[in-house]
Amino acid sequence: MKAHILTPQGPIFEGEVEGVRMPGVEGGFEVLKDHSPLVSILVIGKLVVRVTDMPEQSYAISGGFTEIKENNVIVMAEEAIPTGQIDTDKERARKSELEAALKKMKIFTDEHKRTERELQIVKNRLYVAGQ
Amino acid sequence: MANLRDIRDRIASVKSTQQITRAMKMVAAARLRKAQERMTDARPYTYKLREFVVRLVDKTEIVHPLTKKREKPKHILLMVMGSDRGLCGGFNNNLFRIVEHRIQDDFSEHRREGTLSMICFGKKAYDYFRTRKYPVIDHKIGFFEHLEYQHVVAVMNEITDDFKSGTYDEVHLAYNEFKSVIAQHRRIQKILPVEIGDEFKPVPATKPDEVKEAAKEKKDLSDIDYIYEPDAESILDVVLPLFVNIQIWQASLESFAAEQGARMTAMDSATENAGEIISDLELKYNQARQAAITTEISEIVSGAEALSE
Repeated sequence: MKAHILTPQGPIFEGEVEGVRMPGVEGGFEVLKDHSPLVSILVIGKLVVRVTDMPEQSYAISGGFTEIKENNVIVMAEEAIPTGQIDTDKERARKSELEAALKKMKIFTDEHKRTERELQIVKNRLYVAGQ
Repeated sequence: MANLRDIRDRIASVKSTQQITRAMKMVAAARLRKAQERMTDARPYTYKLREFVVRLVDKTEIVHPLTKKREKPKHILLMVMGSDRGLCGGFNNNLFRIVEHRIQDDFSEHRREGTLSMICFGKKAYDYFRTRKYPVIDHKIGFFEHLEYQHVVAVMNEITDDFKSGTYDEVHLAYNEFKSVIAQHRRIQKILPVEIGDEFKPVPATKPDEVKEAAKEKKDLSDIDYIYEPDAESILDVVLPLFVNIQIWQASLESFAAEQGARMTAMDSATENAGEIISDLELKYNQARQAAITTEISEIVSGAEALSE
């Protein structure tokens, strides 16, 4: 089975895999060989790629979607950062910044929603990095 | 005839200008290569997303808030992408002139009634439209110096929200598309509501054979029975904003590459011009020198003759 992780900055992963675990909108799931055709929304979370005889590689993704057909898994994400590339100090600083900003904002506004979403993304990066 | 020293000074000054233009050309060439790489990197994602949106919109025929056309659009947002730096030939002005024409043709009423808004990307765009009293509501200076996808997302999420809430009825984008190093294609494109333009679709078949063939292909594509999780409509909800973002991202990359290409060409011809001026001046310098020598010799000769007499 082949997997592609595509982002606007470029392909992040391409190659033969055993399985891909993803954060689906209705709960996490793992795609294995001969999966039926599927299109699913992905939410902010952790994406895990399993390659035979290799340690699992995790990515922090900010949502997107996936298309699975004929043993081809395509993950489309605006952002997919491998665990090793997450700058935890920077993310922690950003987290407190956002939390402070949120407290000052009026709730139920578009701005509040957008900031809240960004906070979720930052928290997820920290979670994927194991912090 | 100009004085020898003046000509010498001018030659020196033109030579140093030539050095600068040559260096700028080299810098532009290096940046162009990098910009082209980024364009190539973005392509797999862009193509896949495009294909996906076309299929989903065509097949499901859902009318989504982001694809729905508004009757008599009142509030127009026009985004213009220029450059942050100058010395790139007609890159900015050619585009801005087209934008002005378009405003005159299609949005002059909106402009009069104050329902036209503009956002300028790049310092040059902002300077141009602000001084001409266009309704510029926002500007992104330095946007191209730090070209990051996240910045595009931040800008566009806000605009998409504003479109949904009715602050804008239509959103357009004007930019330079990268054709080749020496050619740019100026485009004004509708971003919202999302239109699946013909350029995204396969070329329509005209001959009967081709029609049949195309129908078969279409069937093949829709033969795959996808499971949609949770459903096609919710998926459009996620995918359409991504599609809007990627269009702006692709346009920013194209515009940046086109800018570097334009600068490279402009600096190349400037370097060449400087070369011509230098050889012109050198000729003049030599002529002046020769004339001076001739005068001096004839003075000496006539002086000597006067003495011998």
